[in-house]
Amino acid sequence: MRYCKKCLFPETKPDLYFDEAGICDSCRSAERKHGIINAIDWDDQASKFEKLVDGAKKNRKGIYDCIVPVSGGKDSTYQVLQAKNKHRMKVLAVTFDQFDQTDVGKHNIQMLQDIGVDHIHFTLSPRVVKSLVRKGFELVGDPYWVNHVGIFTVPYIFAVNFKIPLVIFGENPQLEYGGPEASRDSFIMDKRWRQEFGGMRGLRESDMVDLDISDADLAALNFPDSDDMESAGAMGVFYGSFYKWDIGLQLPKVEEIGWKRLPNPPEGSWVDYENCDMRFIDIRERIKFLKFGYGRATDQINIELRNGRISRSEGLLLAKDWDGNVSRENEDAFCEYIGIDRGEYLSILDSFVNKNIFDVIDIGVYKLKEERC
Amino acid sequence: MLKKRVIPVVQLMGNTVVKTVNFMNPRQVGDATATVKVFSARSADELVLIDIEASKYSKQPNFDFIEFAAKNCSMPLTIGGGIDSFDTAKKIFSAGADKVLIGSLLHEKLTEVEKIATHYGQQAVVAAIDCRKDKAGYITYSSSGGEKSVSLERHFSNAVECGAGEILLTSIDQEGLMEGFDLELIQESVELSSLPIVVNGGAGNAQDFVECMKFDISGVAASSVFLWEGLTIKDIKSPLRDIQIPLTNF
Repeated sequence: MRYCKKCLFPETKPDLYFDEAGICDSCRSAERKHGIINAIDWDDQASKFEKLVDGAKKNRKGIYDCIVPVSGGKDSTYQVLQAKNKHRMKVLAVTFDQFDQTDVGKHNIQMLQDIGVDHIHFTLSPRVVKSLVRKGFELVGDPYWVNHVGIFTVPYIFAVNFKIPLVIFGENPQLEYGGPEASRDSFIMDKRWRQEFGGMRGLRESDMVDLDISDADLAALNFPDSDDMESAGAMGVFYGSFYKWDIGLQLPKVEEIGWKRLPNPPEGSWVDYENCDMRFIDIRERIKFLKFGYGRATDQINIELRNGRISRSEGLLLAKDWDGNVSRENEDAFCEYIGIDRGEYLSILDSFVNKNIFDVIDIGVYKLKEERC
Repeated sequence: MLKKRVIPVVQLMGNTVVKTVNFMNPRQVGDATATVKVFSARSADELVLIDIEASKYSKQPNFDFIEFAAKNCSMPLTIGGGIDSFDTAKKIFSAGADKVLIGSLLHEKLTEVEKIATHYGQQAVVAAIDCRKDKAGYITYSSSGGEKSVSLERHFSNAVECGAGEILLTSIDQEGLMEGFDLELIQESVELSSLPIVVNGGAGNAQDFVECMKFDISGVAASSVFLWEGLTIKDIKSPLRDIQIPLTNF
């Protein structure tokens, strides 16, 4: 298997592109981001965002200038701070309820009240959510399918109905983690983006309708029509397309006001400040590891590697240690939540293992055929 | 009147789902397992899986994955890519496929295709006819569009001669662009071919299926529209029902 010569991404990662020098587009984007080669003009980008902000303030038809979709994570908390304090916008924070919320996550959501913005915490019927978590896990190997769809859709439902002109998401994933060329510089987050990049993995809302779930149950997950978006004057953007996304600078700002990390990194992760609100993140990331040969730790190490804060060889050792690890306690709790036994769980996991790159050692135990390098 | 089919086509490179544009620049979309499970849950009329690297690099098809797909697929499963002989086809049928999609072999060794059709029946052999338009008209190509071959008319005759039961007709010019089907190609093919045709390459929205289904064809196949636009089988069939196109009840 081929790996990027600069970072730890393998060629199996979807939507990753290697150049002739064997460098992935995510690393090339980082060079642009940090002003090394083909630098992004951040001053110019910032002035573009300021124009959007001015337009939103001038043209808003309701009582808010923008929506910030908020999970309670460091990124969205930072976005709220920036929107309110730097850009002086009237912010409506919108949360799509996390079904497996942690205590730390709960604390971080509560912090929105301290920041002083209005906040809608939207909870899709737990009965429906549970069923969608199970289907997401069984069909596409992602228990968080419902959360991806929710967070990329529900804020727009409120934007359209409250006539709010801007929906501000955080980092541009195609710039940070790799994506087709045209998508790296696009700052728009719309329905097409959701379908193509929004973590839906080819599974759509209408696929979820069955004997237990009706179209009406899923109505809040249907992206508003373009006509409705237009008449509300609503558009979604990535803040990370306009301002250089650097966790090293953002984290102290949110911690200063009381935002908390996890006591320890989740299994399979390397840092304690990501996915703080997702108890079962290790399960999703184990499946990603079994599908593509890399996990969450690699994503996190790569970011620090591109920021020049760790070397590739150090990172490789860490990734080998952490990627794909999972907590048995979490696995059991997850099985209980969706109502399957361990045998079914392991058999679903097994169906997603890429056996071109993994050897099966035992039930639920896999080893990469080739040592990572 | 025979019911017309809507058929998702999934392009594969190993265990990875990819999508090409004009048969080039495969973009990695995701993992094959998830895609097969999603389409199975949707109850499409048929599922076509094509390994786009197999013939090009003379690789054997991924029999383990075909077996997995067949087990998880509640609809007829057609497998293409890398079918270089009767023996390979035999292994694919043993793995659980319902039909084989024959591309390069149809240009290279008609007798071998004939052997497959004789043994497994006409209904089990689909001729993949890939073509581009040039000044002289429509020309067919082998090896995933890599090598120029015979005229469209000649190749339709080849398909009949070797006992294929159906044609999967792909416009390489339109493939992956999502700008609509090549209606001129469909018209010409319907006139030339005595075999049922499934049209592929160009679907960008539900209306494209409506335009295409007006021709005397047996079905429409598509790929990008499911991946990027997010249409489901239900989204596509609903406007077709409105104009009384005969469809299966899924």
